[in-house]
Amino acid sequence: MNNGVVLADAISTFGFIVAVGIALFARFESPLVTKSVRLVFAAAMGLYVFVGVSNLLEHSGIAAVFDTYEDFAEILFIPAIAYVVSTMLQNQQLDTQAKTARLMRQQNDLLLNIVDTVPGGILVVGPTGTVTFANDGAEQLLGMTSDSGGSVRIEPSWTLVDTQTGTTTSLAQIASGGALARKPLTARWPDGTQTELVFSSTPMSAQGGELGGSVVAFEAAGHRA
Amino acid sequence: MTYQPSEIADLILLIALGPVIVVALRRISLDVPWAGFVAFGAMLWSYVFTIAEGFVLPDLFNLFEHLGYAVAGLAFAIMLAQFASAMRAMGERPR
Repeated sequence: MNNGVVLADAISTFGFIVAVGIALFARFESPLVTKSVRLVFAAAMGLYVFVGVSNLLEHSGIAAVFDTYEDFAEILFIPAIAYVVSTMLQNQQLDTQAKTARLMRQQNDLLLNIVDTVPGGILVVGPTGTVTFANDGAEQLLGMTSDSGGSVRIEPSWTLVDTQTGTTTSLAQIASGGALARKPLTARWPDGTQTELVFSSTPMSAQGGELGGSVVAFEAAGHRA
Repeated sequence: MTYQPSEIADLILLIALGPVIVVALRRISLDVPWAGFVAFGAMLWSYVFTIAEGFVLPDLFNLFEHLGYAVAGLAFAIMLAQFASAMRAMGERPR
């Protein structure tokens, strides 16, 4: 029976040595298997290499000096495996988050390209009337410039007049006035020139269902000096 | 009747952390190879027989314990090879 135990110990030692080698040197090519995952898993397998060698020496009648330390090695095995698996799970979650963030950046870039390609003006106006974004079309039509910090400069200043009634209005009024479809407005510049525009706007709902400002779009309806 | 407290601790750790390991493995979007179940089953087998040998049939159960380690060693090696192969296949799959 003792020969069977020695043979089993030899097979066990061989198997765990191969496992250490695979853990350290195999190509996993996965973000889940980081260097620390490899090292801790190899260490866990190494614990049973030690146990196997110790058993081989003991059951072959050569030496039992390592027998005392076997218990310490064995008790570390399961926690080490649990650490490896939980670390792989965390790595997967981090990888998913990174992929999601990358996808969102790509979608954001695509949307910005579309918005900047549109010949008309597109503005994002906050609930207080502050313009937080202006596309290239808005810059060309109304001299608005948007920087990466989210602030928009309006230069030179103009006033908006309802083309039909002649009453003065503002972007804040447009943004807080609910949905607007193809409203004709005239931009009057300080030098006396006028730009005929057609405005549309769509309110955005913020958290809690309250109005979170509007997306305002406009295009030139005509231009006269 | 001779068993060591650490043997009981090993078994308790496997029973307590085993479900945690299984749940975490299932949440990782990778199928656990069959060798993984064999490896952990063989470890459980060995932990049970190392305690049982202190009560009855010491020689036979000691052999069972060491056979369990032999199976576990080989199964862990196969499991890692299967994991590596499956992960490489996932990496090469067109997205």
